[in-house]
Amino acid sequence: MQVSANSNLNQSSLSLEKIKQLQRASRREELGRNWYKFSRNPISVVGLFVVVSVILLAIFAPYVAPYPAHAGPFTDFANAKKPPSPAHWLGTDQIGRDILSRILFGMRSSLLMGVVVLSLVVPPGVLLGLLAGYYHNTWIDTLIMRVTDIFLAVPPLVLALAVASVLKPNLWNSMMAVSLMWWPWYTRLVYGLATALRNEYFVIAAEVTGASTAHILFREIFPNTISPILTKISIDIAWVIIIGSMLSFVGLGVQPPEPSLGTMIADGAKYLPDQWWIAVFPALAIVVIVLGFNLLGDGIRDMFASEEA
Amino acid sequence: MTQPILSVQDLKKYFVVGYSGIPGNRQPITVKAVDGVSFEIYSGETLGLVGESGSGKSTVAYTVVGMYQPTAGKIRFKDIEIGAGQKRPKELQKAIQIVFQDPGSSLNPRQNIKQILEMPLRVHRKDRNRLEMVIYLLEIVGLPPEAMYKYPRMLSGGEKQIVGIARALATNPSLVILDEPTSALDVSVQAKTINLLLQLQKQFDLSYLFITHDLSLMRNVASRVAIMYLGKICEVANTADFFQQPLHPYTQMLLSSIPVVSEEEEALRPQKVISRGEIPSPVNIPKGCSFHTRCPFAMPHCSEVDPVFTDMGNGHSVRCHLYPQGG
Amino acid sequence: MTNATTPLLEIKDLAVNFTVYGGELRVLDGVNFRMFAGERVGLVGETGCGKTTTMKAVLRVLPMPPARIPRGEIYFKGNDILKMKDSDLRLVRGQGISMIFQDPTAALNPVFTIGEQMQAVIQSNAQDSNLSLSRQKSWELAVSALKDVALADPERLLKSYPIQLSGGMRQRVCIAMALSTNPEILIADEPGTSLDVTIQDQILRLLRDLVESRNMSVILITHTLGVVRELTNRVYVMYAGSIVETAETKSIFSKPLHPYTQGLIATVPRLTGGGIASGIPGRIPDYRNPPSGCRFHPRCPHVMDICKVEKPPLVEVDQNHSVACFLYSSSQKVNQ
Repeated sequence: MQVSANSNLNQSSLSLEKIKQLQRASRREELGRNWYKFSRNPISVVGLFVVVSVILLAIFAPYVAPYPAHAGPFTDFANAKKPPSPAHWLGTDQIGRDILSRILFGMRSSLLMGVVVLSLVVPPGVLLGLLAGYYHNTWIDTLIMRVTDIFLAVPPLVLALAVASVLKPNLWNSMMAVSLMWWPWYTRLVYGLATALRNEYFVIAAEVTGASTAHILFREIFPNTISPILTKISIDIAWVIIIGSMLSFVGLGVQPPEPSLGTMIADGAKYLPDQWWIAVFPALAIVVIVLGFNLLGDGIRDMFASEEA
Repeated sequence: MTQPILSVQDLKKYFVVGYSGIPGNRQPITVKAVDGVSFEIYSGETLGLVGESGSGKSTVAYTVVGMYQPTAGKIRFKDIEIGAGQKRPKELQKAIQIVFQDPGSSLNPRQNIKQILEMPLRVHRKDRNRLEMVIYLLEIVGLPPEAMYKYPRMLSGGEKQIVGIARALATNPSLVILDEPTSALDVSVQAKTINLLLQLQKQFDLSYLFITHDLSLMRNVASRVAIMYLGKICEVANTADFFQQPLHPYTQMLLSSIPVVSEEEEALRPQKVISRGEIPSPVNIPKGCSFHTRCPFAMPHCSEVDPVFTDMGNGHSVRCHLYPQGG
Repeated sequence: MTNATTPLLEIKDLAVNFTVYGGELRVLDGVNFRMFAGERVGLVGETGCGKTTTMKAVLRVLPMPPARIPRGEIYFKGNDILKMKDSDLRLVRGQGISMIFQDPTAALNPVFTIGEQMQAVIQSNAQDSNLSLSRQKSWELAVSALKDVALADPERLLKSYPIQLSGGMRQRVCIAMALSTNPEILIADEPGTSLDVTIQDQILRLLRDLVESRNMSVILITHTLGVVRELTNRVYVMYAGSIVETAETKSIFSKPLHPYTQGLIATVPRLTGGGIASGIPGRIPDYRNPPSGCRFHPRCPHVMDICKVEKPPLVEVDQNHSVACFLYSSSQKVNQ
């Protein structure tokens, strides 16, 4: 007798509507469960809050900043180097621009850098890692991983500096430079995961049944790598922001008068310790963003953690 | 007897696990996991394969299902034959399926049951209506449709194993290999699962290659039993003969080692052939009969010559110098 | 103060809950257990019944944030383990109660030699008793412990790493480690389950010999009924967090009283043939919302109305044979 489904659905009590309901219910349950795991550690929630606030502030900077014009070409030497006051919560810088407003706009370029770099880096890095891992011990593995090794061998900051100095210094090019030295880390990460995962019985079951390689890579193996990848992404955003700030600190990133947290620190460093607010507040902003993403990353890791009691 | 549905002839599977010696003169270290195994499975029957670690029973299973390429020998399924170095045709992927031992790792933790059951459907059945098929599969194995959107971690061990069985059935196979399907389950869950397997076998006219180390289970499931040691079959018989008249010393050793729950069973067990010694590593198989290092009846001849099969009649064969051919 | 009739280990009405997503898992629901010196007691139950949780509670190794003990006492030689100070607890673990686990590979640290691990156990145990041992002495003790478990060439073994040993040898090493502290009670959690049958047989016989020669008390946790029958003289059957039946081993197998015990024994496949029983219908309860009254009632072929309402106490119905079931009692107080 053939295993076939000709007759049975009509007799089954399940209508399409009920099935959709089931799906929705199970999705809701998943969400609730994930939130529970995430929020077990309240600090992760703090991280989430910080990250969301930073993102919203950055997006709506033109509307939220008290002095949006100060983020562009603006000078007011009469008001320069004023300490924090009700009019300027974080004080003014050496040209008289409101530091708070510039920080909010500076966060834009930092976050933009993080998002763009990771969008460029993660898909190819992960794909290469999956391929190299699945074809472990074949020429594909060797080719991909040796190329990865080459990129990893160059000191990252040096590579970024070299690339950025060859090209015209601006935000876009510094993002290119950072991307070029960032992708190998994802390949490495996923390579390690994929070489282990390809021996799992559920992957073997798919192979034995004749599933296509694309199915195995993207539907069997990849979903099991999402957790470490996401955790790494959330921590990487912090790193990319720091490196981007380092680049603009040495003049290779965002060009003045556009605000950038790194440039602000560089400019303000000259005025320490008397007019400390010019350098310290942008630095604090970086600390807060980085910390927020790190804590968020911890929470994401907890969320994906296995539920075996 | 009609033609067997599966015929395995002198199957060998060797693995190279490393190299010894200095560069320039390296000798491969080979594990002879399966070293000349032949058997047949007839339509609708359950052939039991027994053995401990290193016996090669799982390797036999994996080679038959296509995870491994045979090193030598032939596998013949209905009218399709594959040997070493030949690619497995798609019909075979459909027709021979496997259920793995560990329910925890045989289901993708990141997929829900619907996705898990859809995978074989995607490959082999281009029916439009996969959803119906999934619900039907769940129904055959006794799971409610609600289970579709659950993830493996929400199911018990028995339920996970049942999903594994449903997945194997999705391609409408003729031969299903069951690799210790209930070893990880509690005894009451095992009973339910085995009953399900037996019912499915009748319902869909399946043949089973049933691998387990649990001889009490084997007694009640298999129609014929083969026992393996270090890559070779030692004894094959109909189930009743196997248990009532075990001939090979290893069979007797195994039977006398299992804990039983009643006095009748104790009486059935062969006089204690006490288990001695460790199981040799398959890298270093003893010369001659591979069992002679642990055999209480070992003779000098056993450490030199590997025995061949003697047909004792009624489908009972044994490979042991205690039963020489023609004697 | 202990005398011949004081139990060596006594668990009274132990309850353990775990806090998880969606509520609390009420895993243990009043476990009563008693063991005298020199006994070999089996704790039988299927996955999820709470037997390992019970033993972890005895050794106080339950992770206490998700776990919580709302009520119950555990007396070892008359002292409540749950109320002990850490310093007293350390003496209980090791010299009082030792445990060997199901998977010997996981119990041994792969990056240290056997000798290093055994000496660490022996040394730390000596420290707990305020003794000091020279390295030489602890080495000798380790060698003699390995000899006790019939391992050949112990000196060479002590210098080896776990990965160089077979599964059976690792299990013997774990037993040696557990015995090196001279415990009064040995808890064996599914010994041999991860090993081959012939090796498991050797291990079980070794355990039996050791127990007899040292007059040690053993708690054997398992779901394999055959092992229980061969190795123990008394059995506790556990279901969903409480004891449902207890008796001498031969009585449990010849005359099981509780429907769960009967079902369990019936589902064991027999070497003599006879087919496979149909199993016990239903599944183990969701501990977040366990069934009211007797936790087994949804699966019981003899369920009565009272079973859904009241939880049956453990009552002695025959010589040394107690059952928690309203088929045999009607709300009398417990008397193990």
